[in-house]
Amino acid sequence: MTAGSKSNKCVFKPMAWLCLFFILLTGQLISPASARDVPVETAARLQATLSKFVSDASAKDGSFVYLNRETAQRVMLYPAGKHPMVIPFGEDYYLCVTMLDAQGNKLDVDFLLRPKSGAGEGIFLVVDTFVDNRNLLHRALKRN
Amino acid sequence: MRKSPERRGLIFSFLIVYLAIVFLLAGLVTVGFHLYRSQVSRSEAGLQVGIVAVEIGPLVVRAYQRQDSEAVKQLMRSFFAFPAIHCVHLFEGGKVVSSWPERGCPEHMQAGIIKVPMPVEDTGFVIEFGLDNAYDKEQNWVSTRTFGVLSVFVILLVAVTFTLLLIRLVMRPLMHLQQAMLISTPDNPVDAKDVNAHQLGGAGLIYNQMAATARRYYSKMEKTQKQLRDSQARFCDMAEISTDWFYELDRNFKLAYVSDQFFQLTGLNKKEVVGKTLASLALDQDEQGKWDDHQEKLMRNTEFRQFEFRIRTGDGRDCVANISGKPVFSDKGKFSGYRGTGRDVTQFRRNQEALAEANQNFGDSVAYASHFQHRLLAKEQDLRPDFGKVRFIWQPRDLVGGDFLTYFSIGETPYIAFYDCTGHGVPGGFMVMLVSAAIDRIRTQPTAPKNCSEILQNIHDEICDALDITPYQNATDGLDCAIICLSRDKKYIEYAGANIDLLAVSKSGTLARYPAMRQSLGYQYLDKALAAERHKIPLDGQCFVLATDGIVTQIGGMPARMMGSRYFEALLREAKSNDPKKLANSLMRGLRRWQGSEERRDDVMVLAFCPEEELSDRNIDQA
Repeated sequence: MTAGSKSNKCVFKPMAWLCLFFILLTGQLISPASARDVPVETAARLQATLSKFVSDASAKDGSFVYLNRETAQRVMLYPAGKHPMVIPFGEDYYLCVTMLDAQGNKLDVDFLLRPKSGAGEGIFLVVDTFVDNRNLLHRALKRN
Repeated sequence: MRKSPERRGLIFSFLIVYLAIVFLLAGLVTVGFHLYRSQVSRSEAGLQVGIVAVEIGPLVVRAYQRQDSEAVKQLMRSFFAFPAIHCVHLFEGGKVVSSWPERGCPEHMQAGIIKVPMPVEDTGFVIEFGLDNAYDKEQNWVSTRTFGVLSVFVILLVAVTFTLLLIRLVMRPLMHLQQAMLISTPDNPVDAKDVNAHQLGGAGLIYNQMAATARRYYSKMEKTQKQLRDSQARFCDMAEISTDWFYELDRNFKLAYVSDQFFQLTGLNKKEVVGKTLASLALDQDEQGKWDDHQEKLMRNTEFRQFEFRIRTGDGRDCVANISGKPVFSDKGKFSGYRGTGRDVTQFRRNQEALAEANQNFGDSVAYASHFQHRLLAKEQDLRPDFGKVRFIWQPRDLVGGDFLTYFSIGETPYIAFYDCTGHGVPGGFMVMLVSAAIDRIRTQPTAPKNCSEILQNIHDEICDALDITPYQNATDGLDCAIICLSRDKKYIEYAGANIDLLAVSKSGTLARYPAMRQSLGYQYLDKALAAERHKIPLDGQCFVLATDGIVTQIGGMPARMMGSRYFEALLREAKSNDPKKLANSLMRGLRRWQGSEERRDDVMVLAFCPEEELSDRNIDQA
């Protein structure tokens, strides 16, 4: 065996392990995407439920009133755009709406929707709201 | 350029593996991207349906309940604005009451249609949306392809950049380092090129430092080796010059090695010598004491020097060997034999014997010559009739000397010649003979000199004649001299001296010095007569003393120095008498005291005489 073939073997062996590592890593990246695959019908029901909730919870002037947990002040928000992505969270789902405050600042408002118990398939309730608190959402998703 | 033993390039192998990994990764990422895009598309479709169902659905139901079919159709057509929705059915109690398009979902899309029924609030109506399963599929593929191509392009760009950087920053310095290491030799370490501060360059720098250190070390080692070779050659030359042969004894004192010179000198062969003891080679084994002492030294493992013994050479001659040896010990201190040098001193011993014989002969000759010199030397008793009480001390440094006393008469006048010739020993003796012969000629010549000064002049002329001293040629030989004569009426003495003063000691012990001219006789030719002063000195019971410079120039005392005239005169005063014997003895005692352990430098001669007293004694005798 020559010195060259020895050195190549030395190079290829860790490379093979590196390949396997990347494949597993990529699989790990792709598989959650597949796992999060939400049917269109469910997505439509969720979006409809959220749209109805925001509409019902809004005041006559269309503002979505929110109580700031830190300052204990009512904050008037105005829906500006809905995000298409639906993120499963166990049995629940996260949906997001971009809203504007009185100063025109954009805020991401995340809603947690849960299937209404005993109401049959496709009926959801909004059970929690997170205003401009993406960190909490990320931590929750990581733990899940 | 020397070829590396590495057959396949590391960079090639690395590139192949790297490309395989990045293409695989790109494929997987592209697939992930496609899946993600599909998910987003479905979510968008869901969003469209959800919004439409909540916001437009109630309007459609209310228009239908008002039986406003135009408004229903108009609202149903508004769904056309949502690209995901392909067809809509309004159900009441499970029965289709209105559709858009009016004829229902396109038949060719039936297979790809996803039906999403959405209840409209609490009205009992349901709007069923027909969504295209392949919604945004084409767009997704376009995005995926673009992403894939861009990924590949970026990956290739990164790969090429990385490879070029790898070649430039890693492979090239590495190859230069490898090349430098391949062509380097211990005596010529070659520096690596392309060294810089990064880690690999650091390796190159370290290698270069090692190379520089090796170069310095090798240069120093070469210099040291050269010095060592020179030193060895020098040592060998000196050893060969200073001695005749080398030898080694084993721990049993048998000859283990003898250098070739020994065999060349003695004519013996190795078989006769190697493996034998020194005693077994010697002819003088019967000198038991000598060999016992030598054996004892060997047994005590001590160094020995200049041990001589006789051996019989190959051609039957006797040879005297002189050897020295030093014991040799191992690193652990164990005695392992002797190592030493030997010389053939046969000729030296013969020469020594011849020299001793010659020396003996010469000694005998000089002793015989001394006998003659003694016979020629004036004696005290010779002087006493004219010069009274006399004390004469003559101590030549060797058997014969250059100091001499001659007593002679010219007419009826008695003379004393007291002289110190150049040198001592045999040369001095010969010079004395020369002067003595000159005085003999002077006193017998027809026109005899009239006074002491003329005698000095005549001696000078005779010596110059004898030694070929001319105006053009000086000599290194001559003499100091004092001439004394007694007047006919015996009332005074006449004295003239060349570098020898006359001292007179009165009855009261007073010392008077009569200086001589400060010039020796001989040595150089003079155009004019000598300026020797004649002193006429009345006797008046004085004692006269003459001494050669052997006393005043004697080294001694502490610190060592010449005695000098002052001490000389002090010695005369120390006698506290003008008796010649006491004066002379005082001088000799003082000389011994002054000399101490120093050796005698020159001949010594002292003459002390007191004419008046002697004359008185003689007169009494005659009477």
